[in-house]
Amino acid sequence: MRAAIVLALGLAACSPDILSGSYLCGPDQSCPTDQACNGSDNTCVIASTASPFACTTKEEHEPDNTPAQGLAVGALDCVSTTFSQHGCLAAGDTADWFTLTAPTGCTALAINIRVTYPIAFETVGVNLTDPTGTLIASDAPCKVAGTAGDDDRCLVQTITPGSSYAIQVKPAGGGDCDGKCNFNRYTLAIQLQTP
Amino acid sequence: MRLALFSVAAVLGAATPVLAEGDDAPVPAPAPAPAPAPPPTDLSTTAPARTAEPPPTVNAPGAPDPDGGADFRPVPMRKDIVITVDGDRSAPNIALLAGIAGAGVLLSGLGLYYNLDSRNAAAEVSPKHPTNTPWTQAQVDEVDRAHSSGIKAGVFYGLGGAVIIGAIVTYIVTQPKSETTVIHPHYAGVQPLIAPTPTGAMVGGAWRF
Repeated sequence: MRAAIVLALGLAACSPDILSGSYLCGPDQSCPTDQACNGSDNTCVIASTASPFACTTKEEHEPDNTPAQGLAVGALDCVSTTFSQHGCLAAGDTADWFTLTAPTGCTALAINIRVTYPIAFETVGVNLTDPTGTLIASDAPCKVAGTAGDDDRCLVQTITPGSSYAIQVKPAGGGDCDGKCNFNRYTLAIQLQTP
Repeated sequence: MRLALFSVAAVLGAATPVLAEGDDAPVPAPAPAPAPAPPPTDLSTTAPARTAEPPPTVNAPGAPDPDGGADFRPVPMRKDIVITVDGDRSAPNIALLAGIAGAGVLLSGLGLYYNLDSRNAAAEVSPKHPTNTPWTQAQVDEVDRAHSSGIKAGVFYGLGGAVIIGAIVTYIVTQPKSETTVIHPHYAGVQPLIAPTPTGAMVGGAWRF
């Protein structure tokens, strides 16, 4: 009798029972039915508890909307460790800029840039420019995929030792929920290496 | 059924073979006796002619009945004997019932299949802990599969159950009628039979039940 009841209950359980916080938000803030994307950590939670997206003070470096206002990366070696910086593009923010000066004394030098961002909100791109903002190179898909729930773009470019450059992180225009989620947070990773 | 039982066969006054009525065999002539046989004086001392059964006991006239006049006949049955014979189902009827029941089982089996498929799909997207993976179209497809298979399971369960109920109803409706025979037991009056024989007489009885 007990086994029959257990079997009946087991057979009856045909509707998904998805706990709050079980999933990260998908593209365009997609979440299971009755759940919504929590803006603070881009996880799917019960709709009534979801908070809107907002950039934190630690993520914002405004004003940084021009190469001249860019956040300085700091000195890097010819073969450097990875410089990592969290940033945020709020709705309407056109770009975040970073600046760096290539070290001298390197026989050959290349810059490897990777920007990683949640797939829940608007896609993010990265460009390498000169200090005036003239485009040198644009991003491309990364050869090695990042973590689940995130998307990323990569840029590898040979640079001249001792020269100054600017890095532009900007909204790429995709996955913005038709304009309703035209924001995102990101992690910028920069590393110098021998090409 | 008619039975003629000869409960008592006694040949009176002779030890010669007794033939039943209608026998065509000639009666053998009595062999010459070396000495004249003494005339029978007591029937109880005369051996029966063609039977190994003990001779009936005949009480001496005026002797008391050793059984005290008890009636050893079986007590008459006062209840009727009812014999019910269930009718056999015909082969087409059995095939029809088997077909309907089989269809019901098949439909229910499909319902079970979709039920399990729906449950598996639902379990695929119902983790107990955070998965740290995004909600993508793959999960949406699983939810759709769980929903779709759940509907199919319900439909096939319903159809299968209805057909099985139909099979049960058909089984009841097409139940062959049983034949009942009632026997009223009673004792008929004994018809005494007394047949003379060349050497005596034969006494018997016959009755119907």
